[in-house]
Amino acid sequence: MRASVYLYEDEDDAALVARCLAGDPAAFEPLVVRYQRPLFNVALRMLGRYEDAGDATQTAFVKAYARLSSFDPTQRFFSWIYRILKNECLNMLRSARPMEPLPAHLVAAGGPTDRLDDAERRDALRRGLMALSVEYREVIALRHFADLSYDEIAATLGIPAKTVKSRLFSARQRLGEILSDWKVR
Amino acid sequence: MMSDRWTDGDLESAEHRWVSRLLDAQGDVEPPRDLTARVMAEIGRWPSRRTGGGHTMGRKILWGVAAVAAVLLISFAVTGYPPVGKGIEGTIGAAKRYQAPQIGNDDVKVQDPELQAFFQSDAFHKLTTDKTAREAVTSKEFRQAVADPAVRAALAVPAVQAALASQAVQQALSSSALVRALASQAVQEALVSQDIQAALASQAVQAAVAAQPGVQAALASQAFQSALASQAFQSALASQAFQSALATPAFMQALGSAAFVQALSSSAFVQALSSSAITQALAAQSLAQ
Repeated sequence: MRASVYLYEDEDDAALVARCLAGDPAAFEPLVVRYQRPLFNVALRMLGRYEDAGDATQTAFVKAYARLSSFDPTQRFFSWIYRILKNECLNMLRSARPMEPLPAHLVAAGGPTDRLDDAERRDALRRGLMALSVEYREVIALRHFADLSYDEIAATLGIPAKTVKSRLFSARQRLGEILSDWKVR
Repeated sequence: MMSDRWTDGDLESAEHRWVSRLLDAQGDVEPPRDLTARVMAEIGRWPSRRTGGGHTMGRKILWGVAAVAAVLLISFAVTGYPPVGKGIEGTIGAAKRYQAPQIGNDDVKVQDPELQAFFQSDAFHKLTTDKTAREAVTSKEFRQAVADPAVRAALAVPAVQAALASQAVQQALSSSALVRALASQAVQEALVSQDIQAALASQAVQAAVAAQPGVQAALASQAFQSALASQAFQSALASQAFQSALATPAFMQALGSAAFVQALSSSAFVQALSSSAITQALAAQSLAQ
């Protein structure tokens, strides 16, 4: 069961930020503990590699701390730090090395793909996500791996909830096509 | 969970519902265990927001003071304190002390602003004049421990500092069986989930308590439980270097030293420990006693 990132009181986040700004860096730790899991999981789906996701999440937190004075306490902390994380992920993707090719039995037409084990299925899904555009990938990550509602995704991305729904629909459809081509079903 | 997921007007064709199920079946992935510690260690390197800027002394003078203080600190670490002057050796008989090669300017680069703050702090002064604290800081085990970012991050947490200053906690941490129990996978998992009571009730911890009954009071103390709730402290407990430091008499003795505890509660001191210059110097093989 994934914990929703909006389970916590935003006022509490704002109070912790205020303590940091008043010279208490230890007050940042609860924010890291609170948000590292959803941020890391989104980064993992955005970047496709565990180590890269860890680095991106760490950098996002450090950059957020450096820019705490620019945080608007009327906004949600997660939305704010998510934008920092996304920029970090985009920077890393620009300089990323290409992913390893798919295993031969996944690309071979008529291969024994109906017997994929869990690890192969996970790997195919990871590659399928990486084959999506960043826009599609992030709505899937926020919905399925950070467990945000449509309204929360809309607030995080700064777009209408209606747009979130249609984008998510298209993203799943595209992912389904990719996975079907690889006979992952 | 999925049942309420699909009741809020999700636009999804039945044809691709299997995609959603596949995505949800993945579950989320545990972030790196030391992520919090790494972030807090990075943040610990930052100069205090409250004291940033506004130095009254000239920059050159500050650099000079810092450089002199660095040389003094390293000298203490190498030769012991106070330095023995020429002509005094005879009065203390034939005692022989290992003399490491002098560290040159290239060995320690005083560039970090936090070092300047540390060298000017009261904590630094007391540290260099308190024998017990000095022995702890220059001990091999302590140097190895503070070279670990997880340990430095833990030492930067006020709850951990308060816990370490508690006599009951010191007694508990002097039990290697308890420390090993706290570092065990089952207890660490309970701690990560913030279920402190479950962690303390675990078989491993209770076995350690049974072996040393005095530990029970420490476990029940508010100071210890607050420290355990800190993820940085949890990571530190899992650190082999920290366990070694806790098993070191010099380190445990230093926890009873007012100067050492005051140094630990000084953000400047912890920031100085985060400085690569200090940790490299402290961990340098040439400083081995």
